[in-house]
Amino acid sequence: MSDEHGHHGTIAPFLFGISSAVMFIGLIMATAGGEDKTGDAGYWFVFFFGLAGMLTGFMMWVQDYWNQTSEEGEEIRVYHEFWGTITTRKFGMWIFLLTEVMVFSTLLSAYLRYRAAVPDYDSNLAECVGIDPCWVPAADVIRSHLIFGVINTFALLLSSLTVVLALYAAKNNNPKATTRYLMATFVLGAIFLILKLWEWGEMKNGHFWSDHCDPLKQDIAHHCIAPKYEHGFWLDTSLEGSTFYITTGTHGAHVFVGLIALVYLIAKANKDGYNEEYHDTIELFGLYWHYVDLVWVFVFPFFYLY
Amino acid sequence: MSEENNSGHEHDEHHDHSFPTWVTFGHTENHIDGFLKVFAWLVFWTLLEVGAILQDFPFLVTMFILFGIAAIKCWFIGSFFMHMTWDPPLVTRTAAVPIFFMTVLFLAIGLTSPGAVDDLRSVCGF
Repeated sequence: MSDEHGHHGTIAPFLFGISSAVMFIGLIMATAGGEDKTGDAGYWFVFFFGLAGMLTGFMMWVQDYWNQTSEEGEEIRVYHEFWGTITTRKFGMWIFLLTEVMVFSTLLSAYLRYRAAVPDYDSNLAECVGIDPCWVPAADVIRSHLIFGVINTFALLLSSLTVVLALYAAKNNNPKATTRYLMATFVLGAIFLILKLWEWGEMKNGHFWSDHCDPLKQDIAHHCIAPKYEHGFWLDTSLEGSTFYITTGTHGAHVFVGLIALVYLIAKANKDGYNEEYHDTIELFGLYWHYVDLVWVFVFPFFYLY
Repeated sequence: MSEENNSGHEHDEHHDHSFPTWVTFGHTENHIDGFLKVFAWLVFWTLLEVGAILQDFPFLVTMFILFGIAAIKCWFIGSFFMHMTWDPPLVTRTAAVPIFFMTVLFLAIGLTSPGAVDDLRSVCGF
């Protein structure tokens, strides 16, 4: 493939990636840096500088592809001799997902490590007299409102199906159906996030258990998690809270990023951007979205059932 | 991109999208029908998962059911929604790379007590 016909690429992803790193370094230093580890306000400049770079990279990225009449033209559909059976873009997406597996494996294994180290709460255990030393799983806090977790599970599973249907609609040259299925995916993803935020709010404010709990008795069967969580269950309440919110928050952030990508895909599909020949972006996005679904398949039993 | 070319390779993506008959309760040529049945399987396993936690099973049985079902759902999503059944083996091999790290993270770190690695001599047996 000669250079004049080749896809010349764009600097946007590199700008986006480096700016993300700068943004997170700024955020960490601004909130937990400095000599006393309480944050160095001067680093907020670094954070906003990185954020601006990220937004610039994102807009450049969208602009580069938006103006192409065929988003995934032959000039992009290239194969490297090493991975000659799948496209370079698809191989790249799998490598990206591979790194994502590491991210969530770290979070879930850290959670398991804590669970293994701290005994689960049992009123018959001597070490649980003070309650604090024993582990009260987020699952017990959520148990009375488990239905929302179940709805979220079905929403994500259904959204995985709608992405697949969008891909096949594009392959069948049906742009209207493609747009509809992508919009359905967006709605289901949005429902997931809204329910998640509502659930977080309820747990933070302690609305998940009865007002008539015996403060000396941790009666999970009657949805009473007093007194450990009588003032709510939040990020800084306990180790249980930290692991729950960090893991579900990281997953939620992935859903949010997926929704941003979906806005682009819907807009592109709406102007007949995908068809029998050009539909790779939907397939690659689908891989990401299914992966997010797949992570939830493990987060759900880890934090909602166990 | 002189090192990249799309000639001389057998690109065997997306040639055959047939589902195993046990997944679709019989042979089907309709992809949409096949994916709907995969979704139905996922709903079934999720209901079973939630139903299991409402029973008073012993801890180990509960764990076996929960994570067994999670693994089965993972297989359904990966195999059909992510097309790994039909994609070239390279995809499966790439996806299998993190299994080593997951094993280390989950078994060697996640499921051990903190004291297990405090004394290396006891871990290494000398």
